[in-house]
Amino acid sequence: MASKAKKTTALLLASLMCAGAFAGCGGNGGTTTSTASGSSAGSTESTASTASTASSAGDVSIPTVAEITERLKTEAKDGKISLKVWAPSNSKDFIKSMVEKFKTTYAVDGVTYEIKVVEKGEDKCINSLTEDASKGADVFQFPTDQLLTGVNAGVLAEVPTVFQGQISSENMEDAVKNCTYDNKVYAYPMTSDNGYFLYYNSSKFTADDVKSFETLLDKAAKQKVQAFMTIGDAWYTSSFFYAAGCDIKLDTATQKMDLIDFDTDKGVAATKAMADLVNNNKDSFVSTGDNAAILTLLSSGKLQAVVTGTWNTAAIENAWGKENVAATKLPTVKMNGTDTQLHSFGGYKLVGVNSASKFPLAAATLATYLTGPEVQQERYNQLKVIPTNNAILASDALKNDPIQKAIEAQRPYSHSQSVCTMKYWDPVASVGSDINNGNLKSSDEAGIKAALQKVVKSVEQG
Amino acid sequence: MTQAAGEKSYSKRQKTVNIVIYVILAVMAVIWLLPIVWLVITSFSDQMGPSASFIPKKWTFNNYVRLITDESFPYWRWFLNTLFVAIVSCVISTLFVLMTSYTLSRLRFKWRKKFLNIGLILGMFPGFMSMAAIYAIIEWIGLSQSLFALILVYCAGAAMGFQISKGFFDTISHSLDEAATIDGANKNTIFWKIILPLSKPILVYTALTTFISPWVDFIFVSYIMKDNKDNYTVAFGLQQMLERENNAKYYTTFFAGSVIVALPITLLFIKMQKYYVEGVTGGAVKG
Amino acid sequence: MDFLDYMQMSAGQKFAYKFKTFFKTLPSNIGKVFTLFGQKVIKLLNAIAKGFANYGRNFVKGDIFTKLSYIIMGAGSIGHKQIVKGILYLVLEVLYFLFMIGFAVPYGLSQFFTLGTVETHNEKDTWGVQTEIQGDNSMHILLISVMAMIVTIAFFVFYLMNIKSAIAAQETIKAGKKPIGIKREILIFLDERFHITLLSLPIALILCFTILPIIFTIFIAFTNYDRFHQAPQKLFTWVGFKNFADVFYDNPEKSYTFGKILGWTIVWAFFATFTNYIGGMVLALLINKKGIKFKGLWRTLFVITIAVPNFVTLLVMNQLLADQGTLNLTLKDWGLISDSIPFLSDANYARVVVILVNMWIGVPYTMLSTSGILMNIPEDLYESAKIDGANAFQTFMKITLPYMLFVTTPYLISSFVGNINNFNVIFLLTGGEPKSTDYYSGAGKTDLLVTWLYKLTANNKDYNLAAVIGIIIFVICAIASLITYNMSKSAKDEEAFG
Repeated sequence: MASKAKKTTALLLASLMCAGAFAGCGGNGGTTTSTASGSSAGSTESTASTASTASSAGDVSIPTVAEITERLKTEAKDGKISLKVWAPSNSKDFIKSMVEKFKTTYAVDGVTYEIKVVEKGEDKCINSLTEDASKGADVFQFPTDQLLTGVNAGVLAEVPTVFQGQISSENMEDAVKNCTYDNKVYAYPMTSDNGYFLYYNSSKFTADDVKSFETLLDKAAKQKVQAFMTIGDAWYTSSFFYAAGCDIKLDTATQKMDLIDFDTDKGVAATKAMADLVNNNKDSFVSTGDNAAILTLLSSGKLQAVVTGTWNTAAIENAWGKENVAATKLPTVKMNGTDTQLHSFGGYKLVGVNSASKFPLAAATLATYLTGPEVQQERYNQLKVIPTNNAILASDALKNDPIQKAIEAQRPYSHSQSVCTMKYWDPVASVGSDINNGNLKSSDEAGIKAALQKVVKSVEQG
Repeated sequence: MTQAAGEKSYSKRQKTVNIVIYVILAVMAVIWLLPIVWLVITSFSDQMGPSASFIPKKWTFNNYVRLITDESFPYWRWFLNTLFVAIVSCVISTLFVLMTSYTLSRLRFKWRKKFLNIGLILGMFPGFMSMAAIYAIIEWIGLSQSLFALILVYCAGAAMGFQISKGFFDTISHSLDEAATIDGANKNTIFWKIILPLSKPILVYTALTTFISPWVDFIFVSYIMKDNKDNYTVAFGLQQMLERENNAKYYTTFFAGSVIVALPITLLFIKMQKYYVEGVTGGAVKG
Repeated sequence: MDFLDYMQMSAGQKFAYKFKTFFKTLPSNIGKVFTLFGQKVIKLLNAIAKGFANYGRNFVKGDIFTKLSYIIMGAGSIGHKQIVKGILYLVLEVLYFLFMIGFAVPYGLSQFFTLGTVETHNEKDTWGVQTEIQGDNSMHILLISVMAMIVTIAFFVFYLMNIKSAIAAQETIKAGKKPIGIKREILIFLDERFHITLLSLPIALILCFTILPIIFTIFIAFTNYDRFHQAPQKLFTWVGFKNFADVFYDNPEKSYTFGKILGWTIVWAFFATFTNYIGGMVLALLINKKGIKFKGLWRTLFVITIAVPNFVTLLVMNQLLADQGTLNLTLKDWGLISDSIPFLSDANYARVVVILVNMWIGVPYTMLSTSGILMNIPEDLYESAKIDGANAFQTFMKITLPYMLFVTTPYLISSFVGNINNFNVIFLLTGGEPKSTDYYSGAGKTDLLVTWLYKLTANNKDYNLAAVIGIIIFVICAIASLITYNMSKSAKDEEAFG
């Protein structure tokens, strides 16, 4: 089961963004408008539509609560609106309380809401819907990397055009882009912390120590402690390939992936860097194991630096003491002799609406509410989950949040997972496991190249 | 004199041989029991997620308390569900298996050989592949997400496990049937009045195996129950505790739950061992 | 060669003998299976032809009621004074046509060749709120069609029975006797036809929940039911043999991986079966040896491991043996090792470990199953070995093992086939890992064909490919066990009567 969990971890967690490019784009959008005012609205509009595919809906005015409840009245059947919401175990109570608020905010005369909140892991929702959508929830949460699966299976309802404007104006552009496929918006952005970065114990390492893996591991070896980053999981293995300058493209029409430079010198450099890291630091670097391994090592007290994500924050705080937990972007690693910043996959968690829902407007309204600014703020306050809402992200509380800072620092080096189909994960992960098992050695360049060629073929032909 | 000495050395040799055997058995018992002991120890451990050491740093009884009190993992409900499904499907399945194996072993009819071969071959098809179809059928009957669906699925396939008990019936002498037929009994009477009373070992064996299967199956449960937590069985519920999002919080609870599942089955097995051995002995020989 | 000759061979000779016979007879056995298959087909065709001839002949010979029963079921029985039976036949016919006309044809068979034409689609209102309009469900169409086929075949059997019974009644009346009444008929089902009474319910359930789904899955192998065509939201349709071509010709890596996994599956099945078998037998012998005390206690100790559910012990083992698992960390803590032992993450280690863990699980079972049979071994065989001065090991190799193999061959075959499909051990213990760049798309070094199949279905949603591989596994298992079964049967006959 652990290996399944591992896989789910990979699939589940995915997708931060090439925020570098897009955050830049978004920022520039504003300045363009003001400086190039002479070129008029026409050019602004074109900038907007290239930057955000969802903005085409922007011209439809956002309906008021009254307008929505008016329509909900006609949608209700026998004076009832029944919805089912899936929530993961850690936020079930939170969702329940928010649903109560929703009922009062969108109270409709003569209509009673019957909204059930049922526990279901975020990574399993889409899969469950493909098995039987009619038994599924109307509103549910899922990680960005499963958007494609959901769209392929036809289980995700498009976001009503009237809500799209609000979503794209209030949330991070990159997050909205991750809700979009083939120019259609299929989901509502909720949280932006579904990526990975480096946690370290500030009583063992200084901020300078953790700038590169080499210094980090040196210091760890001296103190007889360990650092963890699994490379047997493609979600993390990809860090090295992206860092070496490889890239991934997806043809949306055929859904075939194109792995660029994975099997050239760049891919070889990435593989060698991984192999060196593993083989030169036998005592201080742990590169195998899944999430359970992190928990075990934390309990042993030896693990003092770990590449993981927010889902382990509680366990880490428990092991190191809250005051010692520090977070930052991933360290650099030596590739062909130069220090190279490790990249990452960054992802979001989204809210989706079941296309088989009997109350599509009510479901869409609830989804919008659960991802709206109020609830995002509340979610951050109660669960410490990093939101996607621009205004909240700009607030002081978040600017000083150490984890948000780490995510923000990593963001320029993070990539969207929406280019990865299911065919990607296993073959790429096998590079990591072959390094861990000693089947790929950094001295054997020909062997590495041959293995990478197989991987590329496996992914692209899939 | 020499003979006595010989016997003495022989019995001495026997003694050393026996000591060696005791040692081997003891070592094996340790190997076999160690994971179980670890299972029990960890169920009393107070820790978050998996631990690095065999012996817990802190002990607690909370994991067991949580089995009763935890709302998102209503273990006791699952336990009762499983017990219900196990009892009902055990009774029906045992009956089906005995009926089928008796027929294929002791009655002679045109399609007997074909049925035997078909039964052999059907068992070779990977079960989970046809799950989507089974689910669709269950939904048509209107049983999806209910315990009766589980009972139906477990019982429906039961008859295909006829091999062992057919082997057992093969070993019962045919002269019994003949004598009864001469006395005017029909085959119905022979089955119920003569053969079944002789079949206690295989009956217990079959009942035991069919009783256990609902306690260990999780694939069908996950497919049929979906998000209906109230109707989970222990196997699937326990497995959920080790999922990534629950791992840290419920890891030790998983161990406590496993101990509770294992207890009744262990007791049953210890009690019924004798019949189990007799049943399977008869069955395995002829198959 | 008879059993005694065989028994007198040494273990090595026996093995050589078996080995030689296996390969000597293998081609002829494979040949036999195929000729057998051919003969069966010819026999079937003959039977059908004969059936039609009979069908026509009986119609000509039949009286008015018999002739009528060719169209209206039960007419023959009612006309020949078997009222209740006739009404039952009639009801059956009515039910069948109601089922076909009211359900099977409109919702299934009529669309069988297209598998649906109207795709589920969405309508949007002025706000862009989507409402789903249900279209055809390809999966249901296929399933109902298969169901209709099975029901039709079953109905046809009853239809023939109806004619047969009409003729029988006609003959009885012609002979001047009274046709048997319903009470007598029921009694027959408790005696001469007791097999029908006992088997009908189990068989009906197996038809619904095993055979129907299997036929459905076989059909899926000929469709494009993959991640882009998932019912009910999308339609899928027939593509002929394309999927089979994909698996075999399209991609050399895929066939290479398939071959490798097949190889490991067979190696695994062999070792998993025999390690358990021999291990369990040795354990049973040790416990049952004369002079060993506390037999019950020893047995109970091992039985405890049976009682803890499989999935629990496997998950526990997985946690214990992981690279950063409790065992490795404890050993490191004690300073016994400096690097983790890659129990589950190195291909060679993992393959040995899965077999060992499988022993841990299976040996107590075999111990229980074999101890009874072991006690049945005739004492005199042992006595003679003792006189020959054989030691314990020799006695085991010369007497116990051959005897057991001789008696339990069918058990061995079925556990071999069971191990080919042993999903739980691999899935829960290693999940097929470690992965390797050597293999196609994420298959791991301990993956069996079944677990690989599961990955294809669960992760990729390529149901059609999975169905193709499922069929291949099925064919391999069926042929392998038919061959071994035939061989062991012939070997047994030879040894016993030769």
